[in-house]
Amino acid sequence: MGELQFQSQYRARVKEHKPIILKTRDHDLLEVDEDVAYECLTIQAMSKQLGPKNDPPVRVFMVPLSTKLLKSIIDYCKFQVEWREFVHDNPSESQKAKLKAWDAQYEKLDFNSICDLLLAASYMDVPAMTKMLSKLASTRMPRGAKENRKDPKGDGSSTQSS
Amino acid sequence: MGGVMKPMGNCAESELKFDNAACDLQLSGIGFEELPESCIAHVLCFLSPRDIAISACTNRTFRGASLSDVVWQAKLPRDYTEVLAKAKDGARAFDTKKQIFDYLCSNVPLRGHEVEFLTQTNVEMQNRLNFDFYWLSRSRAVVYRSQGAEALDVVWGSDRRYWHWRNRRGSSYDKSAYLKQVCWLHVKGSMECSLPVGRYTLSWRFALEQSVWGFALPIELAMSVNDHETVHKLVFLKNGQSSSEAEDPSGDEYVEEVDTAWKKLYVGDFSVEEGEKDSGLGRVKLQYSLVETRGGNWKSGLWLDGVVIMPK
Repeated sequence: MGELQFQSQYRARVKEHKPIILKTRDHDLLEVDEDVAYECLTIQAMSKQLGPKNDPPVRVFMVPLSTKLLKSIIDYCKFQVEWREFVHDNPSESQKAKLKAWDAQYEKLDFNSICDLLLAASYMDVPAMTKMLSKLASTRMPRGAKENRKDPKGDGSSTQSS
Repeated sequence: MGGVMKPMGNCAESELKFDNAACDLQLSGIGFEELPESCIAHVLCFLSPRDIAISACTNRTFRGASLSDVVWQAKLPRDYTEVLAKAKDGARAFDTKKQIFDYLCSNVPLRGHEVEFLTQTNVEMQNRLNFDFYWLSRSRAVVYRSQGAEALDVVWGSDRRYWHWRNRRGSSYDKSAYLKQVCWLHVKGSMECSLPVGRYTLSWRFALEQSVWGFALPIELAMSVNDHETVHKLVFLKNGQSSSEAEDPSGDEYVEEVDTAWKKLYVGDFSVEEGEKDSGLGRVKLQYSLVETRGGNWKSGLWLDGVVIMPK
């Protein structure tokens, strides 16, 4: 199926607000708007795989994540969709403050939660979330992982001699 | 980790991009060191090359992640394909982005364009091959550039009575310019290149022989950025101090210990602004000169290796 055809079908479905149902590992069912769910490129890929001919009225996908983690991912996707819809090139001061507050909530998490979320975001393939969490994790990496090892000689610490 | 992958809905396994290790997702308290290689690679993108190398020692997964193209692609400057195209032996095939990074960290000679100079002695055009060098700092992945002395326009430079061209221990290039003796010291050069956006400094790389003499008067240093003169100052060569006085108070007659090591003579700073939107790069045209022609006295004992552009 061509990319253009898929895009026009996607736009048509968004207007109808066809929801997608995600079944979590804890056997909970989460109903999600299609445009929000499509922020997860994994789900978008799976929908594409179904194709227009096999288009059932309701699509159910099984996601091997806990309900709690999946909800966090969906929340992020919702925020992204809203941001894109209501904020254009120049965000206002209040919108910028809202974005800052949104990012700040992730900074409050402990390192293990960040790792869990990172793995989930990477699995669901939400690029912006993966990038944000990776950056956060890189600042929080335990020093032990970096320091308790012998520095390989001649690798990484030499600069161009003058 | 491992385990059989459970398919999600009606999808082909090959469509999904995730590690097999991730599919048996026991996600409570997974710990950083158990993350799959792809996730760790995303995290390593944000570390310095030195920290990446240290992290690589943690375990096999980290080592694999540290070698991945994702990590090193992020470290390469945005115009690395153009740099490789201009590099003298950059056309060879590289297997990984890390290899490209390692190559760019070595002193990469760029194939030059021909530059025309007007010489003092006669008004004919001289074609010279411009030898610029490019390298990345291994620890911070920032761009440095330099230009060798052979690419400079040295007045009387081709006359063996006045200037010699040979190698000195510690010089960055095959040949540096050695001032045997001259009364008209006039060296200039120019460079037009693209650099990542930021602030840089320009310096001359020079050295003095123990037998140096004739530099009681200060040297005039000038620099133009994009055809606007931004620096014009007088500097004493021996101690690098700026001068507002006519002569070096310490004078030339006193025998003092001369430091013969290669040093940098700081000229000035310049900024590179973004050229194309979102490219992170800008083009800059620099012209620089080192002159001492007012005093008319003879001078000797100066080595010039070229100029160096360093990020601030």
